[in-house]
Amino acid sequence: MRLRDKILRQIASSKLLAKYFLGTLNKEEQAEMQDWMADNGNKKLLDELGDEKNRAERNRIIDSINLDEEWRLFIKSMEIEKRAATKNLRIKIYSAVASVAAVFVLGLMMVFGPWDNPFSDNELLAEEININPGRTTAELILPDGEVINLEAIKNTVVEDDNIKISNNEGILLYEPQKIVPLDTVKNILRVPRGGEYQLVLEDSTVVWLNSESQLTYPRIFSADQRKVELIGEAYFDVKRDERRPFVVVSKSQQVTVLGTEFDISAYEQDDRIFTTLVEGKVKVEIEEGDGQVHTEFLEPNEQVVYDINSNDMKRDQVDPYEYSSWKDGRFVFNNEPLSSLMSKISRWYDIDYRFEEEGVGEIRFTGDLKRYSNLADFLKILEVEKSLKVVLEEEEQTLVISQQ
Amino acid sequence: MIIAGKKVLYNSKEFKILFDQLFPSMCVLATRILDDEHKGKDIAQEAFIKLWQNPDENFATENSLKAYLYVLVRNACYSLLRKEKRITKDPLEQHLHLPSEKRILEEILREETFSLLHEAIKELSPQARKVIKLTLQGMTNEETAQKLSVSINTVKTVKKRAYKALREKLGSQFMFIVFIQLIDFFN
Repeated sequence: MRLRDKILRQIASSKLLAKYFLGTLNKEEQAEMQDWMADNGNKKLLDELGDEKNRAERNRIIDSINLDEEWRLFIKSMEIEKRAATKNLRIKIYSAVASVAAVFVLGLMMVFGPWDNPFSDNELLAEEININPGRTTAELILPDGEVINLEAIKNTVVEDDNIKISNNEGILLYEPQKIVPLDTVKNILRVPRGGEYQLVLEDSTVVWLNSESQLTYPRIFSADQRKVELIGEAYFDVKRDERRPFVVVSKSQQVTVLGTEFDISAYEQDDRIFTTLVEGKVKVEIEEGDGQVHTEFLEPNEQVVYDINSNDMKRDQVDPYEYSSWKDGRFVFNNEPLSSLMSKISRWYDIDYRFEEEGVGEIRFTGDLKRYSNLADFLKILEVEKSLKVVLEEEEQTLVISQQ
Repeated sequence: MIIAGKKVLYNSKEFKILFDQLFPSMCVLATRILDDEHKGKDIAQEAFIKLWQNPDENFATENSLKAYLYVLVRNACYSLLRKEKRITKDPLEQHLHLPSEKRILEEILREETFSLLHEAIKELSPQARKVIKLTLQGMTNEETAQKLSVSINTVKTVKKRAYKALREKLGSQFMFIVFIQLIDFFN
């Protein structure tokens, strides 16, 4: 057998081994694995592969590679090779000498050259940060615990007598096959940090789910109400149905509507729940610690902020666009403290942040920015407008914001 | 060069994708054989340049290209070791032991397995990564759940997801073809 074929066999075996270590071998593969282990010396090799230290050592080698730099070097060397190849033998000898010199000069330039990163401590300046915005990505969780990655699947996800669930272009769509009042199957749509997704429920209600958010809902609503549970942020455009009120439960708050548009932000790590009404009318009920229920009716352009810790409820006039613009691809901030602004940014760009000095989080920012642009664009504006300095600690993937 | 039925140039986006995928593994093999990180990178570079000395080469799959590169890395390591032996005057090192074929094949299996595990893990959330790391250390679902104070069901769900990521990775030959067609489409 040629060495190449033996290597191909090793590549095939590695798939088996990886599955073995993840504990996901099926019956057939388990038998294959037994065969493999029976081979001379493979048992010892398996122990070596299972050793955490060996994996860490391998990852350290990988981390020491600067792929962009290696690619640049490869292209340069190829150009030198190509030039050499087109000349006759005599010149080839000279250019071989020249190419050695060229590689040497190139090496020197890599060490001292202007494009070498002058910041040895792995900090990137705002304009050097290349972090893409979030994208449409989510997982659908079925009652048996199966998790479906919606980014990897197209068209029909589930189809049975009661419902057809299809997935296309970042929208998950539920279409009832017939009128069946008795289908209590619940689904969960979960959007990770750096993601967003759109959902069309069985009643044609449209829900935009923001980063790091999760909605639990029945595939088909019951005859008397349409009840969903929200963690995180979502914008609802509820289809009017007077017979079946639409109810959104988040933590100790319950919002009941007939047909309207509104935004709820109820993040786990946030002590406050924001409910903002764009159109129509909603009833907001909050169960206070002592079991009492506090009720507010919201009019358009009104917002209720419920503080879970102090049990405080504040009702205000707001510009609803500020709270719903995210679903239209904008980030709108109106005199917003950096602490709250950065938590939104960090969820969308999937990055951590830290304020270097006290008080930086209190600085207020106003602006209307594009949601789908590179993080650097936003940080540059922030730096100039507020005389701040932003650097990225690469290792930790953390933005450090300080006063200039 | 033709890879998976597609004509690919050395300075194309398509080849950059392959370079990014394959360079690290070549570097790991050479580094392990030579026990030197700098030499490892040089040898990986050399292998990629050697690869293009035959620009008419036709690789049926991404894996056959990878296997070919591994052979080039081995050859380059051997010739470097021979050359170094010629230079050294130390009588103790006069007797040259080139690493055996068995050793090379074991190193390749090791790298391929680690690389697959790395790919499967890196897409996961930090929480999920913890679960998988404990699994790799040989912990059972119960032990993992206890250690991280989560439910056994969470552990099972996380494992299922890692398996999915892995399965996607195992289908990567196919994915690569799709990718190239997409790039063609946008160009």
